[in-house]
Amino acid sequence: MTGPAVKADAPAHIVGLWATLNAALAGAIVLYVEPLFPLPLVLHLVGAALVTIFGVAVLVAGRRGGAGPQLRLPYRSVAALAGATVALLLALTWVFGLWVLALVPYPLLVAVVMVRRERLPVDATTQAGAPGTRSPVPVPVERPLTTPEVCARALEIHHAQQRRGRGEAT
Amino acid sequence: MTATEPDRTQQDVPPSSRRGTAAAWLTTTDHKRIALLTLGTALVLFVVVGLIALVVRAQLTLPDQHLVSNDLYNGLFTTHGSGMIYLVVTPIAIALGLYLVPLQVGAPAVAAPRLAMAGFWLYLAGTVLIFAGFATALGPAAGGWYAYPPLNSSRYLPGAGQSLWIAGVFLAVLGMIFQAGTVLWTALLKRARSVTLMRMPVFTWSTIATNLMVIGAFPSLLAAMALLGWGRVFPDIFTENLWNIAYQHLFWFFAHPVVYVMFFPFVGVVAEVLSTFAGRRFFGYRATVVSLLVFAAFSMSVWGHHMFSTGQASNDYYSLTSILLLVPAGVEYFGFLATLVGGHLRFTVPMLFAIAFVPQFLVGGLTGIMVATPVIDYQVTDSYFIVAHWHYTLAAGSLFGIFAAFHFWFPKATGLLLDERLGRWQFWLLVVGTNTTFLPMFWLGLAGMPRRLATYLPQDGFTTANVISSAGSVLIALSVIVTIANVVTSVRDRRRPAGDDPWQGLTLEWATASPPAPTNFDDQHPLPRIRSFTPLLDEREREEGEERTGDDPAAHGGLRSGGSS
Repeated sequence: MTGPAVKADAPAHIVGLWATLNAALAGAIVLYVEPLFPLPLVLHLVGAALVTIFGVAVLVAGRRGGAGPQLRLPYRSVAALAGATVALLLALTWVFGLWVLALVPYPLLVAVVMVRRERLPVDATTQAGAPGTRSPVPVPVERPLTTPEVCARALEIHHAQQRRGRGEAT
Repeated sequence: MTATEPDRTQQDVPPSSRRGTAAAWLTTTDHKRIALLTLGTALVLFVVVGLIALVVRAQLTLPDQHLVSNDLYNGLFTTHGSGMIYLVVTPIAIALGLYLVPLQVGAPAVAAPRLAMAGFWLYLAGTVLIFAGFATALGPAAGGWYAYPPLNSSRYLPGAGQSLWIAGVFLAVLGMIFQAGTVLWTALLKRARSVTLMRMPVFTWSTIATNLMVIGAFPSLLAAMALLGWGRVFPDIFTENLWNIAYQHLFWFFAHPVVYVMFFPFVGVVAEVLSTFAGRRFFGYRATVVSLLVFAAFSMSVWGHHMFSTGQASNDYYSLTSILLLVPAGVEYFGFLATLVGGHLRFTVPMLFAIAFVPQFLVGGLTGIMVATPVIDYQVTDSYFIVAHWHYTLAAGSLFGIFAAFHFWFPKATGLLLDERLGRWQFWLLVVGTNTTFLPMFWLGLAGMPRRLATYLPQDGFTTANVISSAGSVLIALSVIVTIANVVTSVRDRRRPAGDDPWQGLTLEWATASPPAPTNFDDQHPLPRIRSFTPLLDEREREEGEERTGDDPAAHGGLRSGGSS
C-alpha cells in the first residue's frame, strides 16, 4: 500500500483509537479504586501505553514508506532456534544454578554466525532471487489497477444513481 | 549475481528439491510452515493434555477413589489446565492467524518471519520445561494454572517442578507475543495494494483485535511470572499481602484477555464458515468490525471480577464493565444469525461445527456474566460451577471453533479433503460428549463441590453427576480418535484431492493453490480483483452477471462494499 499518506496512517489510527478507549476506561477506575492502592490504574495505563507504542511504530513505519507487501526476506531462520536455545538455557540456569551458564556461549556463538549469514546483502534489493536471499516479487495481479479517472467516473455514476433513487434530477 | 550462477527465482531459494527436508522445515521463514509447526505441536499437546484430563475424570468418577495420589492429582489438573491454556488453545488461536492473515490480505509473506520462528522455538522450549517437571524428584507443578502465591512460593511448593513451570510459562507466552506481533504488523502494514482495511475479511479483523490484546496484556503475565520467580528465591516477600494481591492483579490483567484471545479468532472462523456455507456476505460487516475492536478494548478493563472474593477489587467497576461486554457480543451474535437467515445453507462438517459453536459458546458467555456479578460470584467461586462455565467457553466454544477451522482450511493446507462421514461422526460424538461432560458440572457446583478436589465421600451426593460427566469424557476421547483416523486415512490414501477452492470460498486464500505456493500467490494464481471483503464472491457474481446479461455488474454496483482505509 503506497498510496496517499493518510491511507498508510489509517492502521495507526485504529490502534490509537483502541488505546484511547482503554485509557478512558482506566480513567474511570479512579472513581472506584482506593487511591492508596493504584496498581489497577497503573496496570491499565501500562497496557494502553504498550498498545500506543505499537501504534506509534505503525505510524512511523507507514510514513517512512514501510507499508505494502514484504518484498525481502531472510531465506532461513537458524538464528531463531539458536536464540530460543539461549533463552532455554537461561531459564534452566535460574532453576538449577549457575553451572548451566557454561553451556550458553555455544548457542550464542551459533546465533551470531547465523544472524550474519541470514542477513540480506546490501545490494539484494536489485537482485531478485539472489543466492542466499529470498526476494519475493510483488504479488501478481490479474489486471492493471483501476486508474483515478475510472474511479472518478464510477463515483460519478454512483452519485447519479443515488440522485435518481431520491427522485432528484440527474 | 555472477554470469556463471544459475538464474534463480524466488521459488528456487531454497531449491524445491530440498524444501521437503526436515532442515528446511525447521529453519523455514515461510509463515505457513511456521504456523503449521506451531499448530501441529499444539494439536499433539491437545491429545496429551486431553489424556491427562481422562485420568482426572477417572479419579473423580466414583467417591473415595485413589487411582492417583493427591499430590499427583494436583500436578495433573495443573498440567491439564495450564497446558490447555498456555500450550494448546492460545497457540492455536495465534498460529491460525499466522497461517491465514498473510493469505487473506494478499501478502507474499509475514513481516519479520525469523521473529515468528523464534516465537515457535520459545513456545516449544516452554513446553519442554513445563513437562520436564514430571521428571523431577517432587513431581510437576501443582499450584493450578494461575499459581497464586503464597502457595506457589518455594516455602509451600518446594522442588524444581514448580520453578520449571514458571520458566516454561514465561518462555511460551513470550513466544506467542512474538508471533502475534508479526501477524499484527502484517495485517496493518503489509497488505496487498488493493486490500484496504475495510476489505479485510472478518477473520483478519478478529485476529487484529486478538493480537492487540496480546500486545497490551501478555507482558503483564511476564511480570507476574517474574514476581513469582522472585518469590521462589525469596519466599518472604509473600508474607506481605501487598505482593499477593499485586500478583493477582498482574496475573488477571493477562488472564482475562487471554480468554478472549482464545475465542476471538474462532468468532472470526465461525463468521467465515457461516457466510461461506450460507453463500452470502457476513451480515453487518462494519458493525462486527467495530464490535470486535470495542469488545477487545473492554476486555482490558474487566480483570478484577476474578478477584471479587479477595475483597480488594471494586465490585461496581468490574461488574459494570463485564456486563457492558454484552453489547458488542450481541452485535456479533446478531451477525451470525442474520447471515444464516435467508442463506442457501450447506450443512458440511465445518458448517456443523460453526453452528454448534453459536449456542454452546452462548452458555459459556452468559454464565460468565453470571459469575461476573458479585452476588453470584461470592456463592459459586472456586466451585465446579466455575469449572463448567470455563469449559463451556473453551471446550464447547473454542474447541468447536478450532474444529470448524480445522475442517474448513485442512484442504487449503494439504490439498486434501477430509472424509465427510467420519467428520460427522466426530461432530456428533463431540456435541454429545461435551454437553454430557460439562453440563452436570453446573449442578455439581451448585451442590457445593469445590474445584480441585482429589476425591469425595459417597454421602456428599456428587456421585451421579460425576459418573455422567466421566461417561461424557469418554465420548470426547472417541471423537478425538475418529478425528485422528480421519486425518491419517485422508493423508495416507490421498483419494480426495481438494482443488484450489473446494467450498466456493469468499476470501483470498481460496484464490491460490492448495497448498499455497511459498510466496502465496504466483503467476498461475494471481490475486483477483479486490473490491470488498469477499472478493471471490464478487468475481462469481460478476461472471454470473456476464453470463446472464452479457453485462458487467461491476460497472454499476461495484462501489457498494466500501473501499476506504
